[in-house]
Amino acid sequence: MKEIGNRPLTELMRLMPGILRRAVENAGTDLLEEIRIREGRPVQLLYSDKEKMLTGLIEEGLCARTLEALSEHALFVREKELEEGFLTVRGGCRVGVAGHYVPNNAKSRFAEATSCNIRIAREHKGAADNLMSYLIHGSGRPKSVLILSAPGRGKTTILRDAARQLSDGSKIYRGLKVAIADERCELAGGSGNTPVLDVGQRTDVMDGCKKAEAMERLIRSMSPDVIVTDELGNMEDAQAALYASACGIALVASAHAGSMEEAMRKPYLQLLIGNGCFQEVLFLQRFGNRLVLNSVKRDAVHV
Amino acid sequence: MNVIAAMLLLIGCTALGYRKTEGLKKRKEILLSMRSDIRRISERMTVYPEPFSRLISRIEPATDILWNIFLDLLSADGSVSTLFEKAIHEAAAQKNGFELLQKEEVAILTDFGTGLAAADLTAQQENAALAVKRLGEAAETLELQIKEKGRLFESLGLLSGLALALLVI
Repeated sequence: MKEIGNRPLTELMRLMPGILRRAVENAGTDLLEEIRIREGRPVQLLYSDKEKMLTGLIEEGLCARTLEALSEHALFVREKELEEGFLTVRGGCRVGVAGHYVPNNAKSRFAEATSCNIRIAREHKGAADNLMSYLIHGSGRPKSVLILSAPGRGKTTILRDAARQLSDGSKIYRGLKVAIADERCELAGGSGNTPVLDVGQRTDVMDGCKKAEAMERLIRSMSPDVIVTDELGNMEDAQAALYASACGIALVASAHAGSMEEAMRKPYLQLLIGNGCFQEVLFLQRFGNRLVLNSVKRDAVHV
Repeated sequence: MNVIAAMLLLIGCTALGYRKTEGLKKRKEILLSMRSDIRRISERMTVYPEPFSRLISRIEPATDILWNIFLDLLSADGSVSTLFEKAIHEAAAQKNGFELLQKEEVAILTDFGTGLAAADLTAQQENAALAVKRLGEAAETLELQIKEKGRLFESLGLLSGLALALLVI
């Protein structure tokens, strides 16, 4: 699995407040996965194999300053995202926000953001190499696949690379028309602009709207062979996925669940799996830097 | 020799009177340009919400001194309010007319800068509308001052110049 530079991290570092950028650079960015900022407490850096607490970096208002800097000094542009409790930085890194919530008063709500969690997006070419056998029939037609895992296991990285590979094609199968329903701008990293991350030559991206809405629009307007989307999370998403499936479009999606039992406790996943929307359901596990996919029907595959 | 000195005094005092009036006119011009720029930024922001760096570049502002400094500062560390306030001070230091603004006129701009940190579009629009209103009122006050005091400054300059010239002669 080859990491090609790190464009998401580069974009993130460019926007970060200087004091935080320098501290993170000094601590090291190799295998960095999360930066967690909490008011009055040290900044926590989470790597794939360790954590570091920046005890020298306890700055009052750092959380608010970071949010403002990451929004390019224009939080109002990210008003809708922030209402959902996150914003996505150009390049695909997602910033989750927590703190005191004041409904109907956006100004006070974000003045009191007390924690933020910056998740570093990764662009690993080849992350989906072994997944491809699940995604493509022998005839070269795409299959519908659902990837399940707990948060932070690398679902988005795999989906991004799967979109790229399906789109670009290979010697075995031709490139397909791929459409990404990218509600949070994480898969393509575009945040309203041209995709920053490589999602393939034949890929169309729709972001900035609910993924169910994006899927329906993409089906109507872009006639895709495959729709790729991240984190199916409610009945509305499930209905849109079923609609795509009924239209003969393959769906490559992910959802949060640690096991099949957990997945079946979610009504929307029950609906999808029960209706045969997916030809394959895979569990993604992570052991250090290694991602492992387990099929419900097939043996474990190392990615 | 005395005649030359008298002439110089007359010209100097008259110029001083005119300069004072020109100062009032320049202040009014800055306030009106700022009002126009803020209004255009607000209009653009309503249709295309995007970061200030892009919004400002697209409107080709009339008061480019302040906005250019602000654009440069936006890549630096600090909150947008602090950066805007810094831009006002830097613009004043460049002696392009901003140094003539009175405390209460600077306060209108500083207050506008404080509102730039608002996290929602409605608050941004309200902030801009308030700044436009206050800048308009300040410009009207200045217009009155120009009418009333402008002529007075010019006449005083001329008269004091004449008086000094006569004394010298």
